[in-house]
Amino acid sequence: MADQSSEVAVLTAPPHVPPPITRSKSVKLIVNLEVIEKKMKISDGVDYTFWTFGGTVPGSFIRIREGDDVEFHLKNHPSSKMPHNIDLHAVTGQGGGAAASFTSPGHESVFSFKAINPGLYVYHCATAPVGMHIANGMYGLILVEPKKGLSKVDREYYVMQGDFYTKGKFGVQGYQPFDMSKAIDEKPTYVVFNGSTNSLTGDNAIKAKVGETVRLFVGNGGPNLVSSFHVIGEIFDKVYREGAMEYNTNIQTTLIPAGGSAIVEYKVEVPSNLVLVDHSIFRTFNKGSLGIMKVEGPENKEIFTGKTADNIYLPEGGAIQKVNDKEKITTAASVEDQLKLGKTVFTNSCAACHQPDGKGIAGAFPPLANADYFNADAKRAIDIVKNGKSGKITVNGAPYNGVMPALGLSDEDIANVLTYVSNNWGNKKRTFTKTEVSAVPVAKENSGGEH
Amino acid sequence: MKKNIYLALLIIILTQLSQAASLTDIKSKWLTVDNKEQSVSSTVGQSYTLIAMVYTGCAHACPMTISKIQRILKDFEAQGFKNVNVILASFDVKNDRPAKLKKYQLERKLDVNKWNFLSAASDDDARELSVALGISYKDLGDGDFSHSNAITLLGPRAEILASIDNLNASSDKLIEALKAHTAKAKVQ
Amino acid sequence: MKKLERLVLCIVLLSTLSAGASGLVSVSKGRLEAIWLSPMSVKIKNQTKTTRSFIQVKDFKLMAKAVTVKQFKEFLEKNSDWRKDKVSGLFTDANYLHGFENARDNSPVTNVSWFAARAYCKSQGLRLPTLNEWEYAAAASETLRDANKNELFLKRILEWYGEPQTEQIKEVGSIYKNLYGAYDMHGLIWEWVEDFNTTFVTGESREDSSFNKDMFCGAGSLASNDKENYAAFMRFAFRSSLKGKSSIWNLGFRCAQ
Repeated sequence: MADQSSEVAVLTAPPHVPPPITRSKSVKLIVNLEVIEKKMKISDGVDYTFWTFGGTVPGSFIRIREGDDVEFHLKNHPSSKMPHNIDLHAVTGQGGGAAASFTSPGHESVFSFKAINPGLYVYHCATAPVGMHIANGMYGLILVEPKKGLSKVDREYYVMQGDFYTKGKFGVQGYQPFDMSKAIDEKPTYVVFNGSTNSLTGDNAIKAKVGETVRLFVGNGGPNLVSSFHVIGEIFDKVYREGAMEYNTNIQTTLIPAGGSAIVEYKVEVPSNLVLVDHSIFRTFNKGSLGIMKVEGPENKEIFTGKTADNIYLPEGGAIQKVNDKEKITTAASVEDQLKLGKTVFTNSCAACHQPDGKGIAGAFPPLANADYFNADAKRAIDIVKNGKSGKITVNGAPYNGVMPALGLSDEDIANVLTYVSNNWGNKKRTFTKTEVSAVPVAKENSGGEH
Repeated sequence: MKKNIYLALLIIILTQLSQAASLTDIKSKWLTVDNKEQSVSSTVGQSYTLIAMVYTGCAHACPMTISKIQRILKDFEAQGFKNVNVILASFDVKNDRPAKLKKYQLERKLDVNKWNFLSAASDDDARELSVALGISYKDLGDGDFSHSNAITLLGPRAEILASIDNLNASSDKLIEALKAHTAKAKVQ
Repeated sequence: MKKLERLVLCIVLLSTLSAGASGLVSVSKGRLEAIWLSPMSVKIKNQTKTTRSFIQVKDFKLMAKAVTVKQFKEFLEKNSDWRKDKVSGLFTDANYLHGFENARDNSPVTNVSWFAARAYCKSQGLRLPTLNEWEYAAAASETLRDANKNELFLKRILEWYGEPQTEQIKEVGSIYKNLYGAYDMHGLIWEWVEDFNTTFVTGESREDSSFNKDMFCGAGSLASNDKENYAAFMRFAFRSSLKGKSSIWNLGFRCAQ
């Protein structure tokens, strides 16, 4: 102990991971983690009060080495309303440090532990009511690197799933408070990666280049759901199941328990947009658990020709989401309003498949940008958004054979989103009115709704 | 910027408060088993003291607290610390009056020169001492109390040196504090 | 004994002379369902029944508003022992009265320790309310004596719990007045109670139920949280994180009699 040198741990915000540990000796490692309660976006136009470790959801990534003596400083920001603590699954000792780190606002707790077992571990808050603290985003990952280190890869990222319970339904705008009833019933409003429906899409997509090997540190904070983690368009070369240090090879989907983790590695061979999903698939397309990894580089026709579609998992038939009109806060008064509101609808309900830039994903999701199929028939466009669409179509010369569910949008939302799409990306400029949308009948199989 | 000022302030305040917290600041008067009125800190005398809170109607945890203290005293002796006294203050203000505490002490054969039982003048005083020692307790109304267990080591000036809050904890933490304090005293 | 008599006399005088000035309101005795406690098992004629837990309180008086910065300044003038530069390390931590100089006169005093809050109340011939008294008074809305299960009332409480304290604390009397005439029992600050250390949440909340079973006989343990009691549950979790010397930015107090 006495001759041990001391270091301060580098912490990173998701999706980033601290650099691999290169030292060959154990040290006394000081970890400073600050608890901050703050309002952030859980989705476009939707605010939520998150309780965070380090200001982000999931909390800061902590990287330590097997054998390190960790001196852990948990600081609870003075602006906090609640006391908090931390239970690190990497800790051998009472409560994983929970009681030792119980800290009221404006105070700091210090405790020490020795990192005995290598692996990827979840940490979380364990203050009563525990479920609520976790549901508000209080979890993260701590990696205890084995003494010999992990194999060298080109890129490492940090992705963590969580389920959220808000008073308003998915996409209802404005500030949304926590809903204890839904949490007890285990009926989440949002299931997301890295604390927001947008954390890994659009400009926030994570990146890799063809030929690189990628390692994802994946966690699941819960509080309730188990994740069927899958990357559309890739096969995991290695999966360190449940964060253990032995791996299995060639895995399609790996189960990540609430309060558990996995390390997945794969070499990206061809350029594409890989889609990170919870393959309990309604969560992905209706609750937000979707992320993109953009792989750029030269094509390799031997591995992927671009001719056939990748396996896309879409729910068959209509995914009816009834939208309660009473919860609508805003009504468009002008075309500008329509464009603004339409953009929000697009981001929440369409961008996951058709992409934020409307270009779609070749072979899987048809483009809306400068799209002949879209521009040709306004009534058909309304009908597809209203009632869904399945079967073969041709868009800009390319064939598509997928399923789009009926989205359960209100007529007004449909008018707004179609107006938004029409006035962007080189489409035929046109406005859609609510009356026009209402005139298109609801298809029979969708009209039954919930009883 | 704001954060830096806050930090600087904190450091200034911290240095001001660096004198160890001492029970001499608790002015309340307690009664000994012989009905003598005295403060907790004057009971400490000139040597090291172990202090805990109990109630004699307790069937479970309090006898354990006493036997734990006896074990700690043995561990202290093995390290050469023989003159360590004990204070047991009761939070059962209504029932644990001096005469009852005296009887309890005799029954348990606890050396009157070493063990000091104290009876509080009011609930108010018992609550104050418990908070100062970080002990939680609750009167359940039927003669029983629920309470946490802490055994605290005091220095010769009644300053709080260390405490254990678990009856299964080893004496190491207290022995270390004892050694550190005597080493410091020698230097001065 | 004589001292005690004088004190009693003093309190009586104070209460008659300055009831208005110290701003006490009367809270009449009664019982309140303790929704934060789990139902108790009671054996009646060889049959085990579970009953809801209640607390009983006697008539008492409570300050209508939390003690303000101005009031505490006056206290410090007469009681210099409690000034930041003089106060005992046993009674306060480094946050004590942090930001006090810049706080508005009519805001509640915060960053005060339990010991300091108590000393203030004593100086006024008063005391801190007990946990039961506080919960009893705080359960009242504008119109109901027990609004603990009222959805709108709960919503208001939870909104404050869910909002980080990023702005200056509002002035006393600015939130709402309940049917006893007490202001801001929720929504302004957390408040000290005399016996805050009766709550057995160890921070390792998952351990507490067994802890209770081993150490205590028959006490209603803190209930597992459902949608009606988790606001109260959060209050108990907050209290259990406190030490007597803790000073927190959004924790103040009011006195009782």
